[in-house]
Amino acid sequence: MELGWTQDVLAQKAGISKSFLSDLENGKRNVGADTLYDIARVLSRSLDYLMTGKEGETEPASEVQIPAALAAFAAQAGISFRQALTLLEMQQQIIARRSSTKKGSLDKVDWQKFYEAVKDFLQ
Amino acid sequence: MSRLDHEHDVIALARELGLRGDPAEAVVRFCEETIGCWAAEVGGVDRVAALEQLVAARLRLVFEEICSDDDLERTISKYTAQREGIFRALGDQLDAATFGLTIKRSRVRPGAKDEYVAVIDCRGEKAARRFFTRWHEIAHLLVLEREVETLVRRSSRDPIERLMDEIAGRIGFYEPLFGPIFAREHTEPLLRLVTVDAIRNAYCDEASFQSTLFACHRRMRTPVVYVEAEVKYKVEEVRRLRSKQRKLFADDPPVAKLRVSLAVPNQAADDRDFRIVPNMRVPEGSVIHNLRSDDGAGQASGEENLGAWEFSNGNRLPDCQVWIDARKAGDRTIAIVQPVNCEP
Repeated sequence: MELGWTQDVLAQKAGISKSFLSDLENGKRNVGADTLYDIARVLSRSLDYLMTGKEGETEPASEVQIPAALAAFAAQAGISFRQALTLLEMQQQIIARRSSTKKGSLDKVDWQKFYEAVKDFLQ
Repeated sequence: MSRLDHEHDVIALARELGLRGDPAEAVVRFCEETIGCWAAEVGGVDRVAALEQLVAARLRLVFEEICSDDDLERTISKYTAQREGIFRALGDQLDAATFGLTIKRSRVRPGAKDEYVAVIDCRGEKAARRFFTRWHEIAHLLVLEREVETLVRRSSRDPIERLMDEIAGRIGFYEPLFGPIFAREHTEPLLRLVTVDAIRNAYCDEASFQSTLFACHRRMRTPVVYVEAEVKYKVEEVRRLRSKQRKLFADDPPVAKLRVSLAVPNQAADDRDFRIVPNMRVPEGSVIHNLRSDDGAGQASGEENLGAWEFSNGNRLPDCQVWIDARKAGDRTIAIVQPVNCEP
């Protein structure tokens, strides 16, 4: 697996210290499930892969549909497909809402506002 | 059978859950049974707060209550420090119309005890809905695995949201805890608002009066219609006021009158076709009208005949002697209307 990342980059993305990462690589430290999950997530690899070096059986990837308003905003703002996908995933983290008014789908302006709020967290 | 049974999303949800029978009732029962099993596993619960704690733990749910703007900032900081970027948008998401929302965390492993965070907005008047909103968010999680949509941007009038309210009303007023209190306090044939107060105090004083009233209303075997009345225009008058069309001769401006803004029959009222119609005028002389006109009074009750309630086309509600118990609630007057002579 070749990403061309330095230890610094991986440590920063996974939210761990470089020295801790170095110790892990050298087998000097144990790792908790939460940290392992973070590392797997930023590497886009399964926990199986990190533990064994082999991917387990995976379910076929499902098709992701980018809403038209998000696509329009992404094109206008010049953000990457990966960032647009992350934005969509973040928005989908809101799984329930109790509201007295109908919200409807997000429009381009809503995505702009949402992007401005969370842009520091986009990969 | 509920009106929700005809809604496509509700039918689809019941199917996804593998449930048979009337879809809405089947989904509600599924949630009640799930909670019942969890409670049985720990030897039962004796308070609704303990029940909520148990259910939240089983659902891997934690609550964050926002009582002030400082609370909001603290909550945002707490989760963004754990690299949960979605919380940075929390201020925008909790707009004036939103009472609460549930977020699935992305930076914890699946199955973590705080995988879901329900953020409950308790600022200002929203505080009154706190108890019910917590149970509403729990209802979503109880059916989440198989919920039809994942991105939820629905209004309170949406069928799935109404179903979640129905579930919240049933599990938040959990029968094994609420039933005995209701039976102990409700000893007269008709439901009274003071009885609802007593039941609320005994069950959970954090529940709103209105949600407790609905829980009682649901359990009544005789017809009860919950009514909210406020001073408002007729629909047609609102349209006229909003119209920019000019007229050759100016009409008299419409006068806002005390009207029914919400009328909710319980099952027994529905079964007997005992109804009060939204938007109809509350007649002068009615207990509700008299209470609204009396600045000094907070509540009133008495008997009257529904035959005096008239539509603008001159039709009237059927003759029926009713007992009305009414209370002021801000700009609104809330009331329960029950036929005087009615066997269960």
